[in-house]
Amino acid sequence: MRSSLQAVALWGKKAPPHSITAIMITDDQQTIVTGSQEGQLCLWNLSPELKISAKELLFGHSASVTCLARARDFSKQPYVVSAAENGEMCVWNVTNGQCVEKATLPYRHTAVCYYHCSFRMTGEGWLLCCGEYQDVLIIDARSLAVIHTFISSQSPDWINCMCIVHSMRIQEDSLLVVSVAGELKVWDLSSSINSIQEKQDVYEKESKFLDSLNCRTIRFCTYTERLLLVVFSKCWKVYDYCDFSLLRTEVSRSGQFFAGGEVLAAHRIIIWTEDGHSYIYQLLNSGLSKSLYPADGRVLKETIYPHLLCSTSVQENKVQSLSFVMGYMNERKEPFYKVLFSGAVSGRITLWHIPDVPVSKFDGSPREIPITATWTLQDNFDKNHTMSQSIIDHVSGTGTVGVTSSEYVPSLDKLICGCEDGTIFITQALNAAKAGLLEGGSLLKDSLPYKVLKGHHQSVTSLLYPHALSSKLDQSWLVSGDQDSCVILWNIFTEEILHKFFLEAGPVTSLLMSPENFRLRSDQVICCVCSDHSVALLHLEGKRCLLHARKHLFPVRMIKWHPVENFLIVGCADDSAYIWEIETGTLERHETGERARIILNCCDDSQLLKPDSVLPVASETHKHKSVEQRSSSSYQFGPIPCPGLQVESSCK
Amino acid sequence: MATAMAATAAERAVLEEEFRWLLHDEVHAVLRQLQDILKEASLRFTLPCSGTGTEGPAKQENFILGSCSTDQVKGVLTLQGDALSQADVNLKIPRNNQLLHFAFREDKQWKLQQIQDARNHVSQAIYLLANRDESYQFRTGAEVLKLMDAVMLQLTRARNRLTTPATLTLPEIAASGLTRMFAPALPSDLLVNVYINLNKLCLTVYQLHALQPNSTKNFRPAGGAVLHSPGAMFEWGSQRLEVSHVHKVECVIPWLNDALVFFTVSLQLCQQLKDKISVFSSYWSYRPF
Repeated sequence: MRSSLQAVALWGKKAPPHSITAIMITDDQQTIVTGSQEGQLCLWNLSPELKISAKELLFGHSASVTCLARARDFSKQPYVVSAAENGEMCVWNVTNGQCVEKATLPYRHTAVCYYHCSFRMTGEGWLLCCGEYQDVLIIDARSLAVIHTFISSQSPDWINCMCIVHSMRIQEDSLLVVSVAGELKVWDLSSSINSIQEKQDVYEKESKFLDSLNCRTIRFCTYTERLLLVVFSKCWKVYDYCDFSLLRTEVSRSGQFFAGGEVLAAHRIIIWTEDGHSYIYQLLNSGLSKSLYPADGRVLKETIYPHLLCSTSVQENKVQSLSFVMGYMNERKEPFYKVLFSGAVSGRITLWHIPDVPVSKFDGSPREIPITATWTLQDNFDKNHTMSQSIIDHVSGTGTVGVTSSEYVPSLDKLICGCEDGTIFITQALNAAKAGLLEGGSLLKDSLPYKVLKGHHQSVTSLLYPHALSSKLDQSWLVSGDQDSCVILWNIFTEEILHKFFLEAGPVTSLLMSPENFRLRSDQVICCVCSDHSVALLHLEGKRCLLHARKHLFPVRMIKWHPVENFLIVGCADDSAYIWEIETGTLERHETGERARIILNCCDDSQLLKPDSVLPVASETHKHKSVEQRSSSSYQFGPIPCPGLQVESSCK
Repeated sequence: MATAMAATAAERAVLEEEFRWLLHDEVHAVLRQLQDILKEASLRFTLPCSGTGTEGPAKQENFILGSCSTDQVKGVLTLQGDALSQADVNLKIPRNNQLLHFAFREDKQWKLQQIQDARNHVSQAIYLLANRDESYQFRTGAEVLKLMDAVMLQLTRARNRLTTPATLTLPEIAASGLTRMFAPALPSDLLVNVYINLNKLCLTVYQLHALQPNSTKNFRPAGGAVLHSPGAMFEWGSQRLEVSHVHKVECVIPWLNDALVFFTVSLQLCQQLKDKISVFSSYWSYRPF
């Protein structure tokens, strides 16, 4: 029988962090999709009344999400593509949350654009991608394989942003991009399909230097088929698409950075900023006036003046200044809306219903458009408080103490939780899970036995049960480390403190044990990594600190043991390696670059640390180490509805 | 022992004052310093400035590539910003005392992607810092940590682009546009690759010979590598080829060396600022700053 492991993630009263880095609304205006720094995607229901509610968290990326885009003709298949910092790409069905296709390519995308030309193209269409590489990649929307590239003959560089221009007049599609150096380039799209399929080189048709850096958005006005809006971080410009002549430049206020924009209607645009504000302008045509550049052969040239009609802003956040990702969605047909939407690093989504005809106040001053809806994951958790109980709420009494570290000991059926207030709870793992998860479990709650270990004065940041790693070690031992760099050796059966180590090195970020083959006078040692980048070796039997290695300039990423030479090898975040002699406690060598890489790759018994160990965040999202290890082999992409959210959908 | 727990109200007030100073004064001082260093670094890459445009040609630098172990290959490469604008390669074949010479076509340039990528990463880091100038008020420590993480990510990528050349398979080198850059065309038994390794511009020339179809040698295609060794085999077209000789010559680019030093110093500054902020986290662990 094949055993499959079901991973269950439990969240307490606190929603998991979801720092939004990308946001989009599906074409049917029923779903908002957000991508986060944590790598998860979240699907949110958007009701016809523009009410938001979180539906599902999608696990699939192991790095921060960089962009989202439609991946099919949405009316036929509700597919969305996401790309992450590490080159992962996933195609998701947003109706059921399934991952349809995934691939990892050596490219970091910052924008993806779906393109399909039904009468010239077979297959599901292309994903046109740009990012931290030269030019534009063409990726098959079904298989996520690279088909070809649009290449530049003139100054090839990274591309910042792009848009597809469909001209009704000539029935041809073009691809417009702006490079990091500020060069606008145009490729024929529909007429190059054959050449692309035959893998011929397709070069840009035109290019023009725009004289500004950090382009954020390029948009073509489909209403006039003439104007081109290009938003840079410090200015936005309007060009004439016919000859790329500049019609208007509007520079930002000091301290203000534009982040994007969209054409709302003929001669009406919206521009938004990094701090979550947006401005709607009417572009007034001044008629013909003296050109600024009479030398270019044209004496007369029209110019454009922007008139501010309306503005929007997010709720002022006093505690944190945040950055926002924003977008705008035009209505397709009744009863759809024109919606401006934003996602913040804090995880908050905000929507504004933009009126069909935005107008200024009677006195001509700009009107503020109110927020239509705003929501966070936490709002869902607060709404369903009946389910949001943490696994140790019933034992901790007050029920508000955050768990900051945890350890599961399957052999003893024990769940050990270190808390914010310094206490450590030990309870029966399966019964605690039953009590928290299953119906009728509340009866169990009161009878559930538990122990409390009191010894830390600060939150417990790290736990280690040595016997689980080496059966030769005493079954009663538990090691815990806290925020104040105090490490305690406990006897969990008698609940007494066997020894306290004071390291004076900031919060303990992790506790590790030396491998079986590494012994110091026949004993294994505990390795304690602290947030001041130091590493301490603790000898439990001898109750003493063998070595406190304090020279590291960067956070410790990797610990290696060299049993023969009796060395401790420490790999740091700057890819350097420190080699410590354990007996004498001296730094034997410090290597960087290629030599460090070779040293760190030489022994394979490495112990990797979590990539980010800056601040231990008090939350229930800690996965238990043993589960994490096993689940990685049977890891599947797909939706994991959180309990709080599931209740909501079943109530309907 | 429990320092923070026992901290009196007065101690707390002092700590808070110190933290405020850190957020309002010290952070900006470090950011300014970082910007100065990175601007120096980006000058080395001859970034096109927004004011002057890209019209002015970047200055040309000649590098004579050699090696202490062999004088069989000599190369003179001309670097113009991130592109190789000229290349002259001389190859002496001792077997028949033949001297081969080949050069770039005049109308073509070869972009050194590693330099362009490193330059773009640095300008992204500068952009992140410029968005938080003196007028910007940091409200929380977490905000500073986030900014530092983002800047460090770009700097690490910039450094890694220079320190880790692409590992290519021999067919990839053969298919690369670089081989088509030469006039007259490279002989079919030669492959050429150019890359950056740390502060050095490296040129490798592979001499090939065809494997006879009835050869008793066990054909096993070589995987990707920065530098292939003699004996590496691959299939190209319908032919099976083997590398017979490898020549590697290199030359230090002084400004790349500067840039790498600037990256290291900046990364250390970033980490130190993060450490300073983190010190306070142990005093206010409960506060999400």
